[in-house]
Amino acid sequence: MSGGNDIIHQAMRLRIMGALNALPPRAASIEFTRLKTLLDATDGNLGAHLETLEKAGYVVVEKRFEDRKPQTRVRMSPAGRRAFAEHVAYLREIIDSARM
Amino acid sequence: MTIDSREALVSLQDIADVERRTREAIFYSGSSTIFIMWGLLVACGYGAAEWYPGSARTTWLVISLMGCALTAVIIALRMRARDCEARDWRIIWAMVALVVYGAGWSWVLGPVVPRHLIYAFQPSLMMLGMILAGLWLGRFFVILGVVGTALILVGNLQTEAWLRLWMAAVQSGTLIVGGIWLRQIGVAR
Repeated sequence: MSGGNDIIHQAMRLRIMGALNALPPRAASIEFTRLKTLLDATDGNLGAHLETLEKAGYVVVEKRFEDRKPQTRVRMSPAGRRAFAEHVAYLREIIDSARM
Repeated sequence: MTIDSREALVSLQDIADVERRTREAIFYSGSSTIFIMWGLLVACGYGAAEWYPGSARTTWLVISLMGCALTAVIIALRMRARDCEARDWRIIWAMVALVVYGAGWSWVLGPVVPRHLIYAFQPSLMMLGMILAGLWLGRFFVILGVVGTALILVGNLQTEAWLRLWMAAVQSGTLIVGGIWLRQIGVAR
């Protein structure tokens, strides 16, 4: 059984990764404010957890201007996608082994 | 790290919940374009029927066909771009079916039924669609449909000239407001 991922397993970070993972590959980034609404998070809370995930290389946070307004977009990196898939597989393994 | 099976199950349920909400939000933003497009088409239909009352039946038939064709194009484009599941769009096709059904009956009954009933029939059918859509899309659409139906009933008290304008505002207005609301709660690219 592979080990779980401490960084991803925290409740809010797990939800962030889940939301980013559900975005279709060809339109895989989401605006910060939309993500905040989707997760029922606060600015500070979401920002702090995104920073942790960004430092781990699991998400990419892009700041840019759209129609002269600052916009922050978030997307999952390929490493993040792999780590998330591995962590989900680990969680499933735990449940499967408990059933045996 | 040590995770027991109960915690693992809760985590997986959390993931499933957030993934479902994300997919719904993607679907909402996709549907918003369709709602707004129908709202604008319906407004154009009322305008054209006002200017050319003799061709009103043909106008509404053309508007309905145009709306269906544009809906199909928008859905096809979004499915290609976002790999959405086909079943996500059944609610939109249900709304289109209601519009076509209403347009068909209006076309058949138009010459024999009192005009104010025909003016009220199509918009009220649309409001029923809104209420039914609300069962999937959220209570905002149920409220929009109920308020729209109430406005249609109030509109029936107007004289005929105002009735058309009233129905145009109610029908296209609710579609456009609904579309804007979906855009707000959706995950727009």
